Amino acid sequence: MFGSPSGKRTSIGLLGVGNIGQVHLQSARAMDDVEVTAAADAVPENRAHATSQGVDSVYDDFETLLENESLDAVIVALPPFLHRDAVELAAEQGAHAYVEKPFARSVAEARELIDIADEADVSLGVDHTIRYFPDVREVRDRYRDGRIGSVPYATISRVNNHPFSGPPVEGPYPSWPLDPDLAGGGVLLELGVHLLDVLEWTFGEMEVLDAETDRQLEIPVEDAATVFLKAAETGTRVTLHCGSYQWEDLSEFNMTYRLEGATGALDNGDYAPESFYGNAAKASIGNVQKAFSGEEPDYFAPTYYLQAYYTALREFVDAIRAGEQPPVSGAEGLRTVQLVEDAYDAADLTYDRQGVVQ
Amino acid sequence: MTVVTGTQVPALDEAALDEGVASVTSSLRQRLTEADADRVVLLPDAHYPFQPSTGMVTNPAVVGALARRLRASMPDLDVAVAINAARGIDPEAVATYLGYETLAADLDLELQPFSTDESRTQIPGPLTSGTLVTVPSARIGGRVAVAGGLATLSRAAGADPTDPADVFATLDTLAPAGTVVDATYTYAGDPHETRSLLSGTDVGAADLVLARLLGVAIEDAPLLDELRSRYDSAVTVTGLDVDGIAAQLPSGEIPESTDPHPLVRTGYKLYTMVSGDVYPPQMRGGGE
Repeated sequence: MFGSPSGKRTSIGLLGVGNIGQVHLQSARAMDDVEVTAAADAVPENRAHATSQGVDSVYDDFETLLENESLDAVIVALPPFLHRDAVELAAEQGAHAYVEKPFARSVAEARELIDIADEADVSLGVDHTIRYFPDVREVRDRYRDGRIGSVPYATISRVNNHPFSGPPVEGPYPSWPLDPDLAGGGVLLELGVHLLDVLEWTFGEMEVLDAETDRQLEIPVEDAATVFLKAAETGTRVTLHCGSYQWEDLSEFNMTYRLEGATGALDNGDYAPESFYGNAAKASIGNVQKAFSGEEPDYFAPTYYLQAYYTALREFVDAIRAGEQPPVSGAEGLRTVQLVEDAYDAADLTYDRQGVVQ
Repeated sequence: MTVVTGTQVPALDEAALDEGVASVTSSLRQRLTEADADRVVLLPDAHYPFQPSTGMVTNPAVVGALARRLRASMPDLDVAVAINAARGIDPEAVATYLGYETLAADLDLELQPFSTDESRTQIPGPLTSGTLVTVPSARIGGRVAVAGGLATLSRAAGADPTDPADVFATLDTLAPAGTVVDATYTYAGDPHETRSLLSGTDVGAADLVLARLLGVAIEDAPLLDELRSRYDSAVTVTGLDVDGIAAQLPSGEIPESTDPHPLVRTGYKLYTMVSGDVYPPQMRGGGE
């Protein structure tokens, strides 16, 4: 059912060349078996960037791209309100889709995406990158190896400043993340889905027990959410917090993941670089040494966090080339959206989302 | 002798702010009364939707306290709040996000979001629609050293806040009745809950005191240097231990641009050429 012909390069169309789309573009360009043949973006500067990176066909809207290009797969790096249309058009021409998180704005919309893909016999991947962070992976792998015994309690958090910036002010912020109709919700859907994905990846199916949301500014969506969850299989209770209220710069990534086990604790901070810049220097030297010995570099390794984007896309491409289900599938994307909706219900938070399938 | 009145409030709740604003604004209110002002336009620092606790924008609670106090003194006074955001930022959205829309509804204030006319062909209407009172935040300001009343006024009018001649021409044209500096939260490299207010009828004099409070070296800023020469040493502060508070404040710089330094970008490009690694888009910088 799945797959692009092995032996030829996988042709990819990049739908959206904004911040994260550019990361995907660089990742894809580093893959010998991938060719980014086309890109689309409404912003002229982003189209110019795609052209400067060697993309031959550049369009100002993804619909025209998908009408004119024959592709093996697309990367959907568009705001959530465009995911459904993009996947549907891609599926019509038989292209697999690697979709940015959140997978969809509602459970109903997520189900539609999966149905569309199933009917077209194409596969869906979801960019839940945090499970690819080396420090998070280390915590999960050690737990799965039984290194701290059973885990009655865990905490996970991630805070940043999306869509606003810290000072100095250098330009406008994107407005769609502040529109529940376009984004589907606030920080819980935008950022919390990553954490929910990590939890189910670690513990299996999770259940929302309680939740609260908050706003630090009078914005239309929540900018802080705290969720109390239980793992169905292990009984582990988890406190999750996500927020978009804290300044964060390039060298920071405010994420914690800590498991309290019977014989000790696992904390992602113990496996992350102590110094962003120290890691950058060390990783750079390592990659230069690899180059001299003819090895492939560890892509984005000096940036630490961006290397996860490369790995996530690499695994998606490997899966579709092998005709296999991507490691983070649409079903897993749907689960994270389901948990967000459960948390919104628990918090008595209802958004008027006129354009969202309910 | 120019007098700037200050106070440190015991808390940041409505009652404490009301009392604090009342204690520092007697000269401002006297001036408004003498001028028989029927409409006042408050101009806070609302350049971006930063949380007020960062000290990077005026605390809307202070604007609310000032509006209540002015209304208490002059019951027939129309009070408007002019919201001017940074270039490219939607002032109406900022007004909403910072809570000014709610404040205006609660206190029956007129909200006037406006964009600066970069061409400077005309002064934005809200700035001339009544007697101006600047309500700046208390923060260091990068190029302008201190983002006080003069910088807030100049930016709103489209003037160059780093050019003393431009700033004073704007001041002469718009002739604000005075200023209330919101130092409830300050930003001098890091935020600080300073719980202080400064007020006077001379915006420049208050800025000079604010520079002292924030520990800014006057010699490094042409506008402050010009202010000092204009006032000589004839600015007196009452009600606030400015130097004592200054000693408690963090000392630092405004965060640098997230754009990497050109040398860093060049070095990273060289590294990618040698190693075969890819260049992170986040390293591109705004100018590339």
